[in-house]
Amino acid sequence: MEPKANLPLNIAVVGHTNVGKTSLIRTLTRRNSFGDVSSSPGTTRHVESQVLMVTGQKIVRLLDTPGFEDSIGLFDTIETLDDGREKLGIDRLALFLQSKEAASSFSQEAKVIRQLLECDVAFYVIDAREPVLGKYQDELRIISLAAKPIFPLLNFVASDNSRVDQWTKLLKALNLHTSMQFDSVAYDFFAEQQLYKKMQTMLAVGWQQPLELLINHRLEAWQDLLIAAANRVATLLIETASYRQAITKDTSLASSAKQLQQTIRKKENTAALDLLALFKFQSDDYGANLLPVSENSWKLDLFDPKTLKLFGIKATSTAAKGAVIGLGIDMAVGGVSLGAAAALGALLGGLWQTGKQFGREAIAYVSGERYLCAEDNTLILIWRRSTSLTSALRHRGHAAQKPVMIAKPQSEANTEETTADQQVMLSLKVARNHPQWSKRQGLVEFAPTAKQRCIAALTTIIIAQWRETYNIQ
Amino acid sequence: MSINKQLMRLIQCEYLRLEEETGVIRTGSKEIERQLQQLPAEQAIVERANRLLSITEKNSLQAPSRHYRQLSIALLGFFGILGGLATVEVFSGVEQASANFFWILLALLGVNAISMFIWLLLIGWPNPADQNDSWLMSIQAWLSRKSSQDTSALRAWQQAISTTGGQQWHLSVISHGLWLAFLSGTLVMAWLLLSMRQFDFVWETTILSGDAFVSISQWLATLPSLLGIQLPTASHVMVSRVGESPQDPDELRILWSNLLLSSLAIYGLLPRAMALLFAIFARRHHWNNVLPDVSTPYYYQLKMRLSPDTVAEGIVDDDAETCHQTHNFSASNTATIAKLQQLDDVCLAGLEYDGEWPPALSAIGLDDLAPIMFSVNAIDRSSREQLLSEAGNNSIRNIVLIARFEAAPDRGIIRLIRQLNSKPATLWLLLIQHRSQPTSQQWHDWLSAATDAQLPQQQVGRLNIGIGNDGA
Repeated sequence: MEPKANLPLNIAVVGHTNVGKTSLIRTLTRRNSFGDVSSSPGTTRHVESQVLMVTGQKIVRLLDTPGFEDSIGLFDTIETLDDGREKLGIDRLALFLQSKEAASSFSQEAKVIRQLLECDVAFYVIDAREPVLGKYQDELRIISLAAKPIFPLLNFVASDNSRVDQWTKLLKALNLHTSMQFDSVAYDFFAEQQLYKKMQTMLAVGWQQPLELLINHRLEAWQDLLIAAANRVATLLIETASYRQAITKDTSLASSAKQLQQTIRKKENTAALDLLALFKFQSDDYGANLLPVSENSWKLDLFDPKTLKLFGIKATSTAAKGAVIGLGIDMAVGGVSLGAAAALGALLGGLWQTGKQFGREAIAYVSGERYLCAEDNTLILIWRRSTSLTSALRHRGHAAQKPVMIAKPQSEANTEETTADQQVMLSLKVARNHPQWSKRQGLVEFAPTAKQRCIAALTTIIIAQWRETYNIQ
Repeated sequence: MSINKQLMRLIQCEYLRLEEETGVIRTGSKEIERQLQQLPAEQAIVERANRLLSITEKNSLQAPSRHYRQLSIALLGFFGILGGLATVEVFSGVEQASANFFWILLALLGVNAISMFIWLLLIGWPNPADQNDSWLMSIQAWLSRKSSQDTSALRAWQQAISTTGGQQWHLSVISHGLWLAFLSGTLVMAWLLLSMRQFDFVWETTILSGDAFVSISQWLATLPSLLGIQLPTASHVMVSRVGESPQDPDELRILWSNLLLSSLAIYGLLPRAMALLFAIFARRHHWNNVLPDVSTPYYYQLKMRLSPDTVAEGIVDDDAETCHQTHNFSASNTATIAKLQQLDDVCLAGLEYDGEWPPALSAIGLDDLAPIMFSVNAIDRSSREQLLSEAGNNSIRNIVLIARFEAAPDRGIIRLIRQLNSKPATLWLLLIQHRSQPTSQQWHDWLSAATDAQLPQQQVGRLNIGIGNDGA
């Protein structure tokens, strides 16, 4: 029987300077505020730890270390410290730690070696874009002296100029047959799962159960996150579809249209910020200069025909930026309520609501009021943009420094409504007839049940569409 | 509505959610969240709301329930009276004090039976009210609004109840309760009428056979007779037909009254009471299991805060050197490349140069260079040593060290530059940039590295072969 593992599993994240050790930890812990990241060498100069938890239990401790810089020099130093007697690798490292070099020119490296001697596992992080050089081999030789399991981890593998093959060849030559691939900027959840699973197979039996716990917990959280994001998008769509801007006698059509545009843009922007926050990309984590949303296409004019075109929607008429809704009674009752009239309660409910709505519409009609609402194309655009944003956030590592970019989702050829669009638009039809749903916190006289149910139904549709059509897992 | 403990907890959570979604953060919430990290997330969410709300607020959250109770009592009373009035109405149609028993029973229980039947049919249906709010909910919300000042408490109630689902049970409780009140009124009024007034119970038919009524009455009597109540027998029924003259009309009146009252109780009230109890239990069971819906963004984030996936333990081994040198450099170094092209004799050295070695001069952006005496690319220990020993040759006047601009100048690189710089030959550092994006930070890093290696800035040049010489 293996003794029970002593939690947490201490992982020393080591490697050459500037290979993305801190970035890796940022992404694995979903904290873009962890440590300092820059393209300059030697950014991290201390050892800092971050723990992965499962319901209050510490499972894995990741130790961020300074990078190796002068590996060739370090290796030479450790070699020269040899007093000729036969020694184990750990003893040679211990000898080095007591030397004056460890306190002076190799103080950064000494910190790494101290962690190596104390940890359970070492992640050797490699920038897969870098050429395979002698200094890295020396590093691996030094690390192997610590006699700890080493997991070479190829970072930035999603980059165009990564050299995974060359690196794997070197690692195999050094007897490191299990290497892991991960990209801390272009995040892939399933690669992360693979990482823990590989550790499971390589480590002692005692670690399997805690790692299983971590793997399952992460998967659950990842699925929950998708549902929460879908829920937020559904809420945005429902609240936008149900929004109406009244044109009173005192306001002109143009000013009402402007008001409508402003309100809807604000709704979309709030939702985008909420999505960022859900994925733990907070604006203040980036600092003022790296605000990911406002700097990019999210700032684009929703109603601009060019934007519509960018997202593959043909603006049917630029003049009709809003459609005037007349009396809604025929649609409200005929289309919506009767479908559910199988149940007596629903029929009465429909009449109750419709009666109220009818009253209001009638008053509006008599007093000459008209409403503007967002056009279908705008709704499709919002739907596609939030899908793009979610997709981008889904594949964004917390080490990413560039603001969120929204990929061009549709080619020029595909300007028609897709089935996914139609599905979503169909469930939005209901919302069109419930202007009271556009409020974040509804009026008290309308019980929020129906809106809630509509959001729940749309959330399910959105998740299905994301999974099937947009391959958001 | 009796206040279900668990539902109340959810209402408290919803109250807090509605408040926090407007951007309010209560003092002490961070501290409480920290304390609750050991609990399972859902429990922690509930407990957090419990601790954050003041007693006054909790009391105010009970208000809609109090209003609801008052409203319920009023409605129950109203329906009870309605039941009584309906009974009076039914009996007032009786001519010459001879009441048609089966007609009265049908009038008093018929609609109830139909409604009960519909309920039984629909109870298996998950969402009878599909896209609209149920009318009862709407009325309830509307009435509550009229009677309550605290809209935020009411909103929390609505949100909680609407997110829990299980509405059919809540509606069932309401409808059964009201029907029960109605039937109770009916029973009481029927008893009063039968106590104070005299009715001869008869039955009549034109097209049905008399036997049918006998068997119906005997069938009706089955359950009440189990309770030992005196009821009309088959012969009693036969003599009660219109036109017959029974021998003992007083006894017959009592027997028929017994059957009417016990039928009302057993076939009207009892099923309703049972259905009401069932609905109450179902509702309680449902509410006992309600939890905040963590699939919504607010609760998802709260859950993540209360049960964090990661925890920072801070710095374990701090950096002793607090002061790092910062240098100021000029942004460009135009003269270096020009000077390079004018050198007499040159040896080419690679500094971890990536690619074919020695590189064709045109490939690295240099058109012309003096004859090259030797070239070594220092990519590992042995090639480094070779370079250092060859560079020590006194006959060499210029060493052009070629490095990738994209590489990070680490201390190992700085050490090599310093070692080469200490040789008698003049050292030039030429950085080849492959990617086109300009990175002032990297240029700064290299100049800083050169300064650390005591190499003058004027001997460092940059060539961008991605987009050509950018003059740096």
